[in-house]
Amino acid sequence: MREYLGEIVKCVRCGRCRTVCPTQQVQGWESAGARGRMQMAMGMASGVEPTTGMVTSIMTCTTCQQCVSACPSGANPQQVTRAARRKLVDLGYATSHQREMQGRINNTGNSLGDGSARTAWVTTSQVTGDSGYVYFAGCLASYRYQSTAKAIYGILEKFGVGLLKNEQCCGSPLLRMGLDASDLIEHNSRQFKEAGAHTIIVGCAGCYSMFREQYRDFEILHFSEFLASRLDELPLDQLDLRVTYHDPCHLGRTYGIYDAPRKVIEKVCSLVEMKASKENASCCGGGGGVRIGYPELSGSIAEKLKDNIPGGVNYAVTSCPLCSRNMSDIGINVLDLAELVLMAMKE
Amino acid sequence: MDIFTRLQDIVTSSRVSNDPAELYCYSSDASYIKGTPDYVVMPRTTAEVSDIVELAQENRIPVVARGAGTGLAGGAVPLCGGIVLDMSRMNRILEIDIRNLQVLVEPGLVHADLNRALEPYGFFFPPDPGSSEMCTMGGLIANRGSGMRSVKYGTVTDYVLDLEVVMPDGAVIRTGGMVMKSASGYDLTSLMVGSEGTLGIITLARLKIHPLPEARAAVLAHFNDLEAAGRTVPAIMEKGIMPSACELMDSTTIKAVNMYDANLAIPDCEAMLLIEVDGSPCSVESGAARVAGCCRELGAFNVTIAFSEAEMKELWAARRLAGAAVTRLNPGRTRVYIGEDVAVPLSAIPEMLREIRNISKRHGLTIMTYGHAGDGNLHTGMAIDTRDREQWEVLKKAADDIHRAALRLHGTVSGEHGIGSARGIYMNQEHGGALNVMVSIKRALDPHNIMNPLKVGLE
Repeated sequence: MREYLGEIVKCVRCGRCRTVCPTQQVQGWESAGARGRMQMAMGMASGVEPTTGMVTSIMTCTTCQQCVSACPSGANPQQVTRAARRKLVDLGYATSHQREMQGRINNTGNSLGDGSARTAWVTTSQVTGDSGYVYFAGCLASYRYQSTAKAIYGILEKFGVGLLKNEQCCGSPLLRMGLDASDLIEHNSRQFKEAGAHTIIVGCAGCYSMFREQYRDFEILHFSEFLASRLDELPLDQLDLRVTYHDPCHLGRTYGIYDAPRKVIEKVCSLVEMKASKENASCCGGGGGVRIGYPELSGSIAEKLKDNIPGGVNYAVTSCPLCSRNMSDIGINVLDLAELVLMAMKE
Repeated sequence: MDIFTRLQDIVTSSRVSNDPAELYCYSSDASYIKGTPDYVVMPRTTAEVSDIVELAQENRIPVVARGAGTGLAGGAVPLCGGIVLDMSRMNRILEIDIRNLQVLVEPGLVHADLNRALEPYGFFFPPDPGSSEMCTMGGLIANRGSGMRSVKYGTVTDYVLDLEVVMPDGAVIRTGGMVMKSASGYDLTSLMVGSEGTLGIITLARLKIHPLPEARAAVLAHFNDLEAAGRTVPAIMEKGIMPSACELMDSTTIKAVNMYDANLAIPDCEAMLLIEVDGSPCSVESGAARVAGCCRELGAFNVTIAFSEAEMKELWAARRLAGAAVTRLNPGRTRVYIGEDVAVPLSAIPEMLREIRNISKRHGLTIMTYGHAGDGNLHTGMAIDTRDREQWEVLKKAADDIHRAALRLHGTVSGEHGIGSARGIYMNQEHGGALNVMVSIKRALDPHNIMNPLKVGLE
């Protein structure tokens, strides 16, 4: 961790991150917040032997980056925390859920450990296009939100977008949990090249962030961006719905994709903003391995998100299956952006 | 039964920790002072706090109250170990009583949350610290904090009507009442305000609130001479105008603030004054024009008036975080809070600014200066490579010079952040025989010295 000292000492411990860090808000303890994690990282950099509390502190960050947005001194606690995770894993402090995730992906190529066919949702016979555009469905859409995958690809197919023959997890869960994702990156990258892809379209914020970080040879588009640029080419009806939009952390705060999903929503129905949105959007609690490792904490963070939803809306629309999952688990009526668009498509 | 088990019995096991990682996190606040507790407890009720203090008294264990750990003088750092009470989960607003112009709050409430709750009623709690978004009311009261609007609205002392305090023996007392004034007995409320947890633990606070002004405007005045900006402050008041805030930023602060929010685009200059006037729309308009005129007379250029709420919000947000933003100027250096809170009489502001500049030259250390010039409270910011021992030495000498210069000018070593353990050594010089009275009070109320020992220069 010594190489991160320069970043760690940027933290002046002013505490600004306390009131935005979702885990600190739920748990209250100093170690459960970004400032505490910077302290942990400082301890690690100074050679302090990791303890259970330190491991929990580092592993419970959802990587939502609200601390990064709020920090007046320009520190990046999320980056430091991720580095600390890698270090802890290297030192042999991987948690049982990290090992479980590694095992699932090693055995099945997906983050859910699902042994069934990844492309079971594909109804079309044409799975490779020659447009240079490839849709990467991701694990959650392929196995748990097949209606979302179908909806997205149903639209993309019209534009000649293809699919990979043997898609595997993009590696985001591994990387965010401090594990090694290089085999997956290599596997998927090779296939993109073989398919002649120059642009990858994803429907998941986690995948999007992973591709932007690690798949540098390709242009990456979120489905909402692709759609926003082709709206006039789609036969869309106006829906009698009032919806709100949840900005996924890894799409919004991390890469500033705020306008595209809103443009799509406003094309088909009425949009009411959440009480905190865009750069101030609340975290759903699902990311960073928190959902799998600390489900109770993850659920409590999602519960807080409920307060943010304006009254009188039919759906909370989002553009990330992990957000959808965490939000629907606590009873929020969630709809993926693609499904909303599908509802509005003329027969 | 050991202390840890007894603490678990009082607050349930999920709200006590002795995990080394947790203790490490609670070993500092936002200052450079360090001290590791033996236990951290998160109470939820006054009864729990009382039981914990009683247990501590019985076993002669130090007890240190902590809000959000945003203090800048080590006030919440447990120098002698013991129990840290993390009060941040006692954060409810229990009453908003507009008819009686008051609120009843728990000490862990975040300052900005109180004002957000009061806004729909057209009211606010005027003391306005830079750390509004994170500091807690208990910490603000225990450190006699104030902030940017104290020039017109006073400090937190002026707004506390009543405190519920757990005394060192565990007894729970009320120091005041619901009335707006009282001539009944010793003023224990004032004694507790600013006592930094050395006399008791605040568990409830009844606070006076104020109607929001109908209108506000901010005058921005730029100067090519820092001292001219300093001279402008008393000049404005001499003309009979009482601004609701009067903030000074020197050239280094301006650079840091511009880096924090590029939209602000403050012109490169030696100093800027940000002066707010509030009141009725009519009085604000004429007041702002008079302030602007006064600034121009004293050599300001590019004097503008902002009336829009959005523009003012952005300016204030940037100003609030100026202290931490200094780290952006040089990523290899970290801002250390030391010698950062002196206050001098208004007429001494230009001289204090000159002193700070000389100290900066003498030690070869960049010192940013900003603060509430309207009440004479000047914040200084110094950033060093915290891994370099020699730089620490230089920093400490510069801070010592700043403190002593302020005292020479009949000032104080702390305008609003408190003494903690960072400034205890100046207490004798600043207070003389009065310090003995403070020590006597401390000994009478806390004979075994369990309440936040080694603070406020009492030992």
